[in-house]
Amino acid sequence: MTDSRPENSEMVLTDESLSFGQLAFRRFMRHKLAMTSLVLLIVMISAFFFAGRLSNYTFDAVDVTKRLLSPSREHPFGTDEIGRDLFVRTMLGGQYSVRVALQVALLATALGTVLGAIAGFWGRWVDIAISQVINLILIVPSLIVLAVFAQRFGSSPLGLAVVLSALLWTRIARVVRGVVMQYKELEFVLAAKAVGASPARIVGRHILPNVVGSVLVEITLLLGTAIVLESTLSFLGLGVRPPIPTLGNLIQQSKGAIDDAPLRVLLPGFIVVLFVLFINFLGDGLRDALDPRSKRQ
Amino acid sequence: MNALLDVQNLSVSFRTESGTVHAVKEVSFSASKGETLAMVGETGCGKSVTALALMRLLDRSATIKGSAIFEGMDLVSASEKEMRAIRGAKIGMIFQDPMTALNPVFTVGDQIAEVVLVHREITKKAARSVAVDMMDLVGIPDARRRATQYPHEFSGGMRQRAMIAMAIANSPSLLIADEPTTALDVTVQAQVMEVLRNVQTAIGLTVLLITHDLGLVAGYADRIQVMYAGQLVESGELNQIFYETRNPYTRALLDSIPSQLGDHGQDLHTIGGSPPSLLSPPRGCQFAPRCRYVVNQCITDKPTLESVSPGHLTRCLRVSEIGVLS
Repeated sequence: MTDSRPENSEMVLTDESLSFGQLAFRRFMRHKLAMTSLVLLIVMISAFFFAGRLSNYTFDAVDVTKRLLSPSREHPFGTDEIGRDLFVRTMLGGQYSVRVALQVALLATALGTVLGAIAGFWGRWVDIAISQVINLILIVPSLIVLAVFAQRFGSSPLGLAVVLSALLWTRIARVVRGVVMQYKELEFVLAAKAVGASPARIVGRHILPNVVGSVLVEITLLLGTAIVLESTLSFLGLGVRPPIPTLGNLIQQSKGAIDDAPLRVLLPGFIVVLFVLFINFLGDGLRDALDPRSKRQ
Repeated sequence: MNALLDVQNLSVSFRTESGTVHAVKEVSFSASKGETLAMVGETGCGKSVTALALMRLLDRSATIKGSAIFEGMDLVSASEKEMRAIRGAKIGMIFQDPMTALNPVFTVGDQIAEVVLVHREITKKAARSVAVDMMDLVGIPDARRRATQYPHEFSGGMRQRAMIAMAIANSPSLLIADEPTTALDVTVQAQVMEVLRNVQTAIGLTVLLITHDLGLVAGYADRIQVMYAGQLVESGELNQIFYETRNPYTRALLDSIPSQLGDHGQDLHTIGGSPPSLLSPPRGCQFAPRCRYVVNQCITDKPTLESVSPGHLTRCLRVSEIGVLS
């Protein structure tokens, strides 16, 4: 008789207990596209925050003798109309864009989770009220509303983040509401009631931990949307105002140069595209990893 | 008699889009300290609704009437806050499907400890050790290590033991077991019932056992009440129900138990038809359309619960004519 033990070491039964989170983490680690995206995102974000400091220039140092230079060793991304170093400005622009996106993610998630959980758990008129507000925000043409509010409040990065969150929380709320509604009917919630847990405890301890996975995926997609919207508004001149650079207003300022110096427009645009792409790959990886039915190893 | 739970004229109705459904109609019973009372009947006869009504876990579409005095408090009229203090502390409940009644994102030990923390002012560490003790008591081997595992690492039988541990963690005086073994294998059923019996003697528990399985009841219950279409149709001591059966429905249920020795070549005994619609119940006896002793009077007149001997009640118009059914 030959040895019938499985060759693959992963097939061997172990005594080790793995929580769902640990299993999901393993699945994520093995998701090549998502891991690559995560590493590249970390590289990009570190560059946004630290690369500018290594340069000899600052984002608002004007040198009219060095206007409109092409990329060189001294100025990797060239210079703009008044001789500011575009590499430093682009990195700082990325930093502001990322900051706005993170603030949006934080605010929108907090608001969306709380309101979504309340709507999903209590149902009836509370749900109707919150759902109608969500629907209202979703049906109104967002760019126009954003334009109006961004004009008024969006000139500072934080103001813009608040305006964007006021729009984007609905996406989180819809996901949370759906998952909460689904979970509140499950037997373990009835079992929790049967041992005397209060509604707050049931939502907080028993239902919301089950929501984390879906929300995490939604947050990554939200980060992408926030960066794109921030760039759009700044490009239209409605977002963060110069001299503070963001990826959007950098494109706007150099859009006239598309014929003679296309790199000046394309570089910040390329960064926006790459960032959003990586974020989306990361979201895909998270979704696969957090799907409890996933058999992917 | 020392009644722990005294239920009088308990009725439960649900408002639905097609009308009001009377799921439980004027059910009265009592359970004394330490006894096991079984509630038996087909699917949809109101057993689970009765249990959930006692725990006040039905949703808003339900209306509960009558009274259910438990340790001096009426469970029907108690406030939600009072009920929260009773649930899990004085009345424990076990559900049918242990696969779904545990939260997948917490360890089993944490879930049992949480029940203790909700009701008692003790530290997390102390609650954890209560949880491990309880898991020991329900016969989960290597309880200390198993407490750190997640529900998906438990087999069905072990999960049901964990559910029992959770239900008794605060030493309640009443345990409502709603079909506790239905989702389990026959061999595991016996083990779980054994655990339940041990726990019952260990902490002097009253058990309200809800099941459709008369075979299970035979080895376990002190008293039995049979429900049909939301009503009690017969209740009495174990022996009265099994050997002095007075109600045709009970008889039909007993005949439906397959013989362990096997009646080879014979079809299984079944009760023809299905329970009546609770939206438009029959005018007379609820069981009349399926009963083999039916006469014209059964179609028009409603039978009442009558006493046939001490502690033995039955609901049948022809009780004196048909006598003991065997």
